[in-house]
Amino acid sequence: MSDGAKSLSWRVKSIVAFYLVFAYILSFQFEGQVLYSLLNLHHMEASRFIFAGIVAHFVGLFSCGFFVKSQNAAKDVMLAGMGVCVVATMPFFFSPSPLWMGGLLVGGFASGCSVASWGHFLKIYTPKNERIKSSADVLIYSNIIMIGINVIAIHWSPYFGLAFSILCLLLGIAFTVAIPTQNEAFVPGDRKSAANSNLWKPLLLLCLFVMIITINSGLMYQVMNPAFQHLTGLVSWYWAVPYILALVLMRNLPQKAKRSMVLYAGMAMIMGAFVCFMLLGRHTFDYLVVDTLMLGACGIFDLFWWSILGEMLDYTDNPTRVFGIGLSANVLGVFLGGVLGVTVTSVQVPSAEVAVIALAIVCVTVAILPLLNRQLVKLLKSHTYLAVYDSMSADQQAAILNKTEPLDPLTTREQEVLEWILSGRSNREIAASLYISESTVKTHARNIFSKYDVTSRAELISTLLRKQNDT
Amino acid sequence: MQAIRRRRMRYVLLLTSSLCLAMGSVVGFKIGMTVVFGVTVIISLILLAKQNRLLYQANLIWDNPIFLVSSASVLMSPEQATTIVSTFGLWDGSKVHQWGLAGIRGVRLISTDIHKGKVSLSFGNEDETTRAELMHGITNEQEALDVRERLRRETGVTATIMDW
Repeated sequence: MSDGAKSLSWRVKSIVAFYLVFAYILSFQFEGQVLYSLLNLHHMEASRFIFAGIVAHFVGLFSCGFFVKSQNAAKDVMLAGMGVCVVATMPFFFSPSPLWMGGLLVGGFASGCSVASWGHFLKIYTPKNERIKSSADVLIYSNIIMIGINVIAIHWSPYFGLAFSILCLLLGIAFTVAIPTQNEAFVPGDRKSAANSNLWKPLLLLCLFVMIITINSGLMYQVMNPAFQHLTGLVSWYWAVPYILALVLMRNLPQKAKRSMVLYAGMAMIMGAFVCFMLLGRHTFDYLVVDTLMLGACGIFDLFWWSILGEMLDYTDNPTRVFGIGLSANVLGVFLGGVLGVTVTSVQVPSAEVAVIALAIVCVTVAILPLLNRQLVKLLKSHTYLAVYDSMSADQQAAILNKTEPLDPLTTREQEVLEWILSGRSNREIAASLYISESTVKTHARNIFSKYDVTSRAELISTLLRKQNDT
Repeated sequence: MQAIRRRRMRYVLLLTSSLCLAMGSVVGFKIGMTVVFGVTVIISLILLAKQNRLLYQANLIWDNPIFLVSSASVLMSPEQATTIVSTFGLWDGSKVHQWGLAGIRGVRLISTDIHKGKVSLSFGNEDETTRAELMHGITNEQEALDVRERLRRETGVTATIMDW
């Protein structure tokens, strides 16, 4: 088999392994229909189980990257996590006991670790420009399987649904075993790449972005879902269909399509969903309209941030940590959105007013998105350029600086600061290295930008690289 | 620096008290008083912003000294009695003359002449140039050469050494 075909086959295996685990999480552990059906069957209060599952999953996602630092460890953790989930799900076949809660806590943590570990495989087996497709495949297939399991759990038996979700885990284990690993381990204290040292800022920004999007989803879920509870049959299978269609559409968008335009389309759909929810009734057609707009927007937003998270993996030595923290922001967002939704719906006001309050919250948060997106794109661009610069030899780097004439010669001090900027260091790090204050570094940086007639680090580095290409 | 900080603190107090009074007037429906205190809030905000900017510039100058000139006066505090020539301007204890803070289009240091007893600094932009002369305490040529090197390194301006 050729190298290309081999790598494609590994990529497919890693995607299949992950969407099977993800399908299990969506259908059971993480507010899944199977879990709700089982709790309903035994007349148990769902909220504390849901809360336990979410918290454990969050902790697993967030912490995994701190102890998984190599590809081999990532594979081991994925396998162990899925194995633990199988065992932790077994008590749900029997009558309720404390093992249910224990199973959710242990299983939630283990599945969080499994999911975060997949970050390594996404980085290694999927080329950067294809990561949006791999992420879309994972979300599409896991949601299709989830719909199937939901229908089985609702119309047939929750136990069958549970059995199918465990089957997903077992198949996931089989595919994970088949994923090959290379013997390259992350060595702590290894040479840090220029782009790697400054990843926290874009990651924090992305987490904020993800949280805002998912808070909205959680809020809408809590506000809109109760209104269509009487349409159980339709809701059980149609709920995620617009989400999947939006993912398919986004997956097949041409590469040159402007991502920010898609974001605006998603925002318009989300607001449209709320307006329709207020204006329309509570019949089948009304549900189809509202759900299509709302879940379609969720699909757009989700793939949007998954693709940014995928891009970020290139700038880190530890993809498990970045991937896990990014996804944990999503879980935190779902939780906060749920709390907000419950708070809004528990206020003793008419449902129309609840919708207006929720719409106002959604509008305010959604309005922040383009601003965050702009900042994020700027930071990622800077990282992209820094990575290119970082990959050059010292001679090439020096040549770039010599070939680009500023409008006014730099002072010796400014040249020093410029070299540190190009090595990817933050203002604080430069200040510590040169024994000057941070505001001094900022002022020098501003003067350097002015002399090169640029307004940001990203623009400065891209200008320098462009000059290099021109010559 | 202390003087700027003190002034800034006064404006903070003025802003806080006028804000409280303005809010009190709003609650008490006293329209005339609300307008007066509202205007005071705006004025104190502007003054506060100005002092903050001044303090920022003074800090920058203080953090990046090239050489210091001490005026031997018992009537002044040590801070007031010291003039600092720095990468980003000149501070004579009470007044800030800034340069090199706003890129190629802002005020910049143009030339420096180091004489045996004094130093002359020219700074400005395309429209206006200012000249400042300071008595310095530099006693030997080597010290003057060191100052010239620091000036060149930090500001890009090569000082002319005269009369040594």
